[in-house]
Amino acid sequence: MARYSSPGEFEQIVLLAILRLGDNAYGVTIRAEIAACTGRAPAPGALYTTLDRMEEKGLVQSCLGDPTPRRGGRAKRYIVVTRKGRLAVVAAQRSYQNLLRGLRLFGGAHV
Amino acid sequence: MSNKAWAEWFIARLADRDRAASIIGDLLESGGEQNLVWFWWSVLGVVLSLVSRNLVGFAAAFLCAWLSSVWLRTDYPAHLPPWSWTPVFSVLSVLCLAAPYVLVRYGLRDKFTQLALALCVPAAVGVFYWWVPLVVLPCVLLVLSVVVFSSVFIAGRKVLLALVGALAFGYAGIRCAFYLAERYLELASPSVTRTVVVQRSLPFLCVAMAAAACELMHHFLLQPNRHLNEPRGDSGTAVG
Repeated sequence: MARYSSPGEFEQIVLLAILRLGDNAYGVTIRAEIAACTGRAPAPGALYTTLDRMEEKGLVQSCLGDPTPRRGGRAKRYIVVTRKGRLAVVAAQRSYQNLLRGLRLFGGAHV
Repeated sequence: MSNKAWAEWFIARLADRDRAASIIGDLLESGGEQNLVWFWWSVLGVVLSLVSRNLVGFAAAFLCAWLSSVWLRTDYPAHLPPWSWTPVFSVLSVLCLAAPYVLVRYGLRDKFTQLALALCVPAAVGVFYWWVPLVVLPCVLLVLSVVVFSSVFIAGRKVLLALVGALAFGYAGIRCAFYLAERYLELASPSVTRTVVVQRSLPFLCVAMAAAACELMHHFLLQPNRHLNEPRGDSGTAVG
């Protein structure tokens, strides 16, 4: 079985948000997507350090977009999930699913 | 300089310029232009996040140094090693400062950390128990096997080179700090307060030198590909 560097909980949230955004994943949209899906927006500092850490691990890659006037002429840093990142998030989610399987959390009904 | 430019300059001290610019751009796009308090609060949060590991690593290295010095002052004088061991002691002290720093800064999965710990632990045990051959011999063998094993693979050689470089730079920096402190005390007018301040700040300087050397070597030798890719158009396709 292949070994993937297992992402932490927040890393998984960020990875899934990036995957949902596709080609338009950068700091602002990732924060907004996480806020929309989880109900709480992460602190900018936490998000950027997580993105840097995941890039060091090879889970994501970044590239610069064009500068825009709305951003004071500063370029967007687009993020994409690498194959390693996809494998890692799938493996982590599968583990959660395996742990949940067969549990009777709400009375008799299986989840 | 405007607020944005100051913030970007500040963050660029901790991350590369492109990253700093994109972070400030994100904050401006999120409403930082209208809400200055939120903008600076976010900049502060980003700065703290970027330096938190360095600060905790620094504290861990300093704590290690302090505990070692307490132990050296209390238990160790009974078994002082011969004078010829001084260079080994000096290099080991840099390694003992570097190991806890890199453990916190880069984590246990990092090859640099793994090598630093793999050398630091047996070397420290071997030097501190130099009068017990049964301890020294396995420790020396362990250190030698770690060095030989690291030299076999290209990646290992690179990490070994980075660690040796960090030890050399750290050692040179510490010697330099001691020399400058001595020169300063010689040249400045005699004062008990000044002497105490210099003596108390030297441990901080030593830890800072070891940490800076590790950062330098890790950045230049072990993260050569850590730069942003070429710009792409907003409508461009994803990379990777």
